[in-house]
This record gives sequence, C-alpha cells and structure tokens, in this order.
Amino acid sequence: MSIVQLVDVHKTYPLGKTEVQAVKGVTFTIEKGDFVSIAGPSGSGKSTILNMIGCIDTATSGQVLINDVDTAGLTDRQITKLRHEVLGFIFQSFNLIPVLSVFENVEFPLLLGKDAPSRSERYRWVEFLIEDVGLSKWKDHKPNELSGGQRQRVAIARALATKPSIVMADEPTANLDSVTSQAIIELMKKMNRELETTFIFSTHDPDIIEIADHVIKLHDGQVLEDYKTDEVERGLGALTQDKEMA
Amino acid sequence: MQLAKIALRNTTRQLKRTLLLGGAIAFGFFVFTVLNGFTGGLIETVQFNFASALGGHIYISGTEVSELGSEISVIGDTEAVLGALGTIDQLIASYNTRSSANTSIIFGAREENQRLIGADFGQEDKVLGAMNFVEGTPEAFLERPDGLLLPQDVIEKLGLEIGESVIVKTNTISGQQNVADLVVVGSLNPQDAGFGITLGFAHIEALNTLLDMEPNEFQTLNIYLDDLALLPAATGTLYRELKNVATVEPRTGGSRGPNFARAFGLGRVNRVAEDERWQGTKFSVTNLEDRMEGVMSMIGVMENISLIIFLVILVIIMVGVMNSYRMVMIERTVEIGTMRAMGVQRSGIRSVFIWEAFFIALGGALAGLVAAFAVMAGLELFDFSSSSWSFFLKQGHIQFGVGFFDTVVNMALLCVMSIASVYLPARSAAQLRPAEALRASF
Repeated sequence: MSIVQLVDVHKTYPLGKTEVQAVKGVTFTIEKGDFVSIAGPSGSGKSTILNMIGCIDTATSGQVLINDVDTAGLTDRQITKLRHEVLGFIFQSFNLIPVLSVFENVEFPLLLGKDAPSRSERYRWVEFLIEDVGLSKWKDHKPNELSGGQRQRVAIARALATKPSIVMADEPTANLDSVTSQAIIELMKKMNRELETTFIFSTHDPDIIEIADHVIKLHDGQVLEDYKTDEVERGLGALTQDKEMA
Repeated sequence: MQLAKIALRNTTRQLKRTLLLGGAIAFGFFVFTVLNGFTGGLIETVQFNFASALGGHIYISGTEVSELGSEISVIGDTEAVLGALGTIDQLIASYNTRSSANTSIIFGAREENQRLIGADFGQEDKVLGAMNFVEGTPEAFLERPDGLLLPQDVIEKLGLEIGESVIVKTNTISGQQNVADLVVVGSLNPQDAGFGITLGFAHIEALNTLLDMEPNEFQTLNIYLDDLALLPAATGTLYRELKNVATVEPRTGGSRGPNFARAFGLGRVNRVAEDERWQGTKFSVTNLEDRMEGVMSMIGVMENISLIIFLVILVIIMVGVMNSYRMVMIERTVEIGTMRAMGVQRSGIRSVFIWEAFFIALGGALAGLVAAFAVMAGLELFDFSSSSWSFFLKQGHIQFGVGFFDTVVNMALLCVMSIASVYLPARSAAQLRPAEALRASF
C-alpha cells in the first residue's frame, strides 16, 4: 500500500536571472512501513525531494501524493494540518525549541490543533517516547544541556509524538560522530519496527544507506536507482528507474 | 497556551534586549503615571483647599440695598436660603454660615492688616481640625467666644503673646468704622493659607457684632456635598429654588455669577443707582467648579503636556519594539520554520510574537507603575510647607491621585500599542515559507 507517490516531479529554483533545476522528473513510490533512504551526493536533490514530501515546499510540476491526496490542491491551513497529523520531522541541526525542556519539546506537537489528547494521556505517551529514546533522566533538561546525540534522540521522540504515518529525516546523522550516527539510525529503525511508522531519511553515508530496506539513489536531480534491499538479496534487482533511463 | 509559554520564555532569551525594551516601556509609563498622578492629586488638593478656604462646595452669598442706597454684603432673608436647602437635603453632608471682613489688628503702637473669617466652628469642626496650629489649640479657641486665631507671621510682627488682647478695627457692612477687643488664643502656620491670603479666624457672633450684623445673620452659606459628582445638579436645584422665592443673580457662562470679591465680602461698599435697587436679599449661587475654572484650565494644560509626553514616548517605544522584533524574526527564522513544519499555523507564529510583545509591555508597565508608586510615596513624605506653592499642597505635602480605571486603561493602551508595533514583524514571520525558513538548517 503506497503512502507516498511522486509522479514526474520537477522543481525549479530562481537563481538571480537564471533558474536552477533541482529535481528533474522524479517518479517513485514509498510503501507504508518502509524504512527509506534517499541517497546521493550534495546537490543531487535529496533535500528538495524531502521538502516536497514533507509539504514544506511545493513542486513546480508533477504530483506529490501523500496517502493518495495530491498536496498541490491544498491550502496553507490544510497543508499545515497535514504536516501536523501525518508527518514528523527530524532535522540535521536537531532544531529543538531552546526555551522548552526535553519533555516540553516532545509534548509540543501534541498541544497543537484542536484534538489535543488529555493531559494524563499526553503525559503517559511523552514519558513512553522519552524512555524509548533513552532520555528519561534528561527529561527536565533544556536542549543546550544535551549532547548532539541526545538532542537528536529528543528530535526523534518529538517527530513521533503525534503518531505520524511518515517521519522525514534530512541527513539526521550529518552532525554526529559515526558511533552516535549508527545508534541514531538503529533507534529510527527500532521505532520503524515498533510503531510501523514510515521513515524517509536522506544521507550520503554509504554505511547508513545500506541499513534502509528501500533505497532511492539520486544524481543530478534524477533517480539513479530505486530498490528494496530484500529484493536485491533475493536477486530480483532494482525497482528502478535506471533501467528506464538506460 | 503552549505558544504563550514559549513567548514568555522567549523574553528571557536575549535578556539584555528584553530589559532594554521593558526598561524603555517602564520609564515611559513611570513618567506618565507620575505626571498623571500629580495632576490628579492636584485636582483633589486644590478642590480640598478651595473647599476648606471657602468652607464648602456650593456658596450662597447675598447682597442687600441699605437705607442709604449702598450695596451691603449680608443675607438678611435667612428663611429663604434655609428653605431652599431642604430641596437638596439628601445630598448635603454639612453646611455652615460665614461672615468675613478686612480688618486692622492693633496692638500697642503696631498695626497689621488682616482678613478675618467668622464661622460657627462648633459646626465646622473639620476646618478647625485641618488648621495647622503653631501655638494654641482648637479646644482653647472653642472655649472663648471672643477668641481670635491669627497667622504666626502677623503675631510676630505685632510682637504678640498668646492670650493677649488686640483691637480689631474694620468697616461695618454699611461702611461705618467699628472696633472690638478680641483675645488671641492661637497662631496658625501662614503657609496653610489659601489663595495666597493669610487668614485669621474669629467666631461668627463676634465678627457679626463688629460688622453690625445680627448674631443670626451671615454673609455666605456654604454647603458640603456627600458626592462631588452631584455638584452641578445640586447647584442648579438650589438656584431654581431660590429664584422661586427671591431675587437671584443669573448663573451665566464663564465666571458665572457675581465677581468673586463681592460674593465673599472683599469688595468696596458701592452705591446702587435708584432705578437698580431691589428689595430684600439678592442671592448669588456659585460652586467649586466656578471658582476653580482658572486652576482647572491650568491643570488641563498640564494633563495635555503629560499626554503629549506619553504619546512621544509611546512612539519611540513602538519604533524600538518594531525594530527589535525585525531582528528577532531574522534570528528565529529557523525556529519559525521548525514550528511551521511541526504544524503550527501562521496565526500561531503571529501569536508567539504578539504574546512576547504583550509580556514585555505588561512587565514594563508594571515595573513603571511600581517605580512610580514608590517615587510618589517618597515625594508625599516630604514637607514643602516653607515653599510658596502651599495652595497646591495638602498640609504642606504633595498629593498624588492615580485612578485605578485610568491606570488600567493606560496599561491596556500601552499593551495594545506594543502589540500593534510588533504586528508587522509577526505577520512577516508568519508569512515565511517553511522550506525557506528551514534552509539554513537543512
């Protein structure tokens, strides 16, 4: 069952008097529960694609469908509501709210919107998430009192707070050392299994790419490879746009 | 409320900037509150001083034409005026009757001019209690029907001791010279005088005798009301009632009624032309507002000046707040993008900025208010009795009057203006496209 579909998506940015084509006719599908890695070198269009899937940017042409809903037809209010209810975000620089504690940062998304859970329900869920990312002892600390790895754990817990269908992570390990990076990806994988949340993360680290069960490799704004690792292992080959490109 | 909590905590992020902004707001509100408190207190003080000096809030004076055709200041028709009082009986706190005269006080070879007020101090216990005695006591004055209270400087000039007799010389109401022996039983602080005139006091019966008036006659009847808000209505009712039974000078616009000096027996004895003479007492009804017109216009000017200062400070604060929040918006661009990505609507982003401005404005205004109250309380402790501004002082002290409702309105105005000045940066922040806002971190 597809949860994200990109159909012939193009994205062009104005750059002075010229235009830069960041994404050139990308098409792929992501299934519910996938642990997806969007890989590629700098400038390949990873962040632009994540932004469009995350509904924080719009495609110049083509379709971006989330749960079969074309995001191009939604108003800003509807898109914001969609982001709140369906999507979670993990950022490279963690982007925690500095004036809130760990607990409050994780709780914050739950307080938005009209259908906020009750106080006790909210408290239990936030406690569970914080415990699951191993930060129970740090729940009353402010972000500036945490290490990079701990901050990213908070960001993961926050991204999962509203029980979103999809969690987007743009280079979540770029600011972390290799050991911490591995731990963060493993935590994301664990959450993916436990909560059946679809994780889509971008990276250019080859070690991390291979942890994903669905890899989409980009180059110069186009899909170079699109494959599921278990199918490769079973010898079924890539899902692939590279064949078409060939 | 989470957004309000974030806004409140945001105020501590750049503490120096918050303190500067809050400090500017506090200073503006401090200046405005002190000035407003001063003018507010001034109105109350001047009202009090006028009422004390004139013996009430509404003043009924009377003039009659003597057998020789002179205008004399006296209320002979006491029944008419006392009857009219009955119509506003429920509004009256108290009333008193007074006579007054410009006299010469003679002691040995020395002579000093002195204005004397004759009153029934048994009734006017408030006035007597408010007097600032240098020597003697109110009780001693009440015990002696021929007692006299004089300003301390007059006593010094005459070389008098308390308990000594003096000769009091004045003209009767019909213009004849008359003298009486009175005993000085107390001295008053001359700085407590109203209108810059140092007053002496005697019992009304003693002064009436000197003025050749009957003991039950008087020159003015003064009324204290329970509620000053009812002053115009009560004055109007009295005027109409008196007009039904006697001759009354019209209450015209501007200064209203006869000139101040004549109403209080300060004028000369004038001859009335044959065709202008009247029978009985011609009344004149004036009130505190009439008497305070000049002072009120001065206070009005002061209030306008304080309002202009407040507006200028407000504009400076608004510009400061607006510029600061433009900087804040740039500093928090990534954070705004993060919040938008998490599902905060544009209105939510706006409200964070607006709450923040509100908290700074409220905090600043409260700090300014506290500082203003502290300074006003401190200034009220100082005794300025020796200054020449005694008419603007209440027993030598500056009085401040800060109205609760006015303060709340001013604080609300300050908060609204601060919110208005932050609105444009807040709207710009809300309009940021999440992807562009986050690009710095992505």
